[in-house]
Amino acid sequence: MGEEASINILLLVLCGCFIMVFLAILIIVFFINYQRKMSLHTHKLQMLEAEKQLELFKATVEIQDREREKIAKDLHDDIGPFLTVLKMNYYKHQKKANDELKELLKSDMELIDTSIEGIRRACSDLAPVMLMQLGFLTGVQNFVSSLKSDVSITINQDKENHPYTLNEVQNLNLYRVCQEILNNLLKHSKASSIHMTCNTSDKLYVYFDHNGAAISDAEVELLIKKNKGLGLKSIQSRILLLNGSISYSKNTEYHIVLSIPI
Amino acid sequence: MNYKTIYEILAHISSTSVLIPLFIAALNFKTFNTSLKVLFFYLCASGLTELVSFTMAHQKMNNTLVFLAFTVIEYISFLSLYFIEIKTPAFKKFYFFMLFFFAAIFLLNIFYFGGIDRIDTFSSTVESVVLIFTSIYYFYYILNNLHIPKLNQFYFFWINSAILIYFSMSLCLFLFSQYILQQNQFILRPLWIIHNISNICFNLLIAKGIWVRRQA
Repeated sequence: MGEEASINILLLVLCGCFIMVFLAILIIVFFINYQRKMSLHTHKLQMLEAEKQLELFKATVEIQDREREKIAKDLHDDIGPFLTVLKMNYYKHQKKANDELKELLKSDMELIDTSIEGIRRACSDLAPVMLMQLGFLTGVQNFVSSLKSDVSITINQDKENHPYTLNEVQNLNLYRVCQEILNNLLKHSKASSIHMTCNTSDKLYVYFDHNGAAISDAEVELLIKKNKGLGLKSIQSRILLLNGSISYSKNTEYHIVLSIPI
Repeated sequence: MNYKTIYEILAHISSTSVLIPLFIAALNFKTFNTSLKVLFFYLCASGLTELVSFTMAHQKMNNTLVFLAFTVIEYISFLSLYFIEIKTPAFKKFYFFMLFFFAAIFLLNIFYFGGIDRIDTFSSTVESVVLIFTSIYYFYYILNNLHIPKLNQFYFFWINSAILIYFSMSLCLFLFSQYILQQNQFILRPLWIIHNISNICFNLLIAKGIWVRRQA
């Protein structure tokens, strides 16, 4: 075999090798690009889905709050005055009644007072007036003072707080979140003392610590997945609307930490 | 430096390059899944083949039998890797069919064409073609079935790329080497440099795959 023929074979095989490698690399590059595009597309879809979900949450929470406000208004404006008129009539009749009847009317009077008080409490719970005027923290303080519980609940605000303003919706959402957390702690943690601390720096932080049974992030996720934590889900939805975050922990100093951008 | 020296240096680097993935694999063997254990077995066989064939060549003994055995181990190991990773019924059937097909080709080559004292380039060519198509099919399988957010952190991407590049590079060599040997065996040596380079690339990519798995 001549030298020229040998060189030709050498070149042929070399070319074959390089073409094959070039094709292999081309396939890998095509695959990487295609995969990247698919990932971007999936990410975009997920973002759209999340946005849609957020809008849905927002609408649900808004409708819920509007309905609460409407019920509170109806109770306050319709049933409240009726009960007040009834109470005044009772006073009138009581003056004319004899001693035996007065005694009977007295127990009915107590029932009317309890009803008025119940309606006032329900109105305040459904649409807290204090909250609209003085902020979520005062609303929570008011809510805590209305609780008839043996558990000691203290609310502190850091003295070196940076000034912050929350709008009406944010105040209401934050109030509902705190209310739900306190309700959950009273119902499930078996704690005898609960401390709530509010602090602001770059964000608004609300810390909860207690001496009862705590819960972790993983357990919360599991409860929500099993549809066992409706309250927890509501907390999560409202936190999402506030663009904030919530973390649950068993071992750290604070068992629940809320952080809300201000 | 003439091409013989380059060839010698590359041959040594190529033979010892298997130690890189083998070393990383040995350190992380406890964390390995089934496919990586198969890969570890292959790397051990590869290292052992390099050692035995080098010793035999040094003793002026014919070491083609070692390479014949290694071709079978290599084919079964890589096809088994894909058998573990690709979870489709069609591929399971393909796996068993290709095992029998390769066995038939291998035995046919030994008993009728090549024998055991000649380098079996026919089986290696069939092996290369099967594994090139399987690796391309694996990319297709990933696109359809797996959602991998960061591809460069997925260990099997590197292993699959290593297989695709190595066998693509070696296919022409295996295909023509018998012919070259018959015509002019002196030009096989410069061509074998390509194989050495592809083997180094292969071992480095495998090492990268195992390293990525270690970090995950």
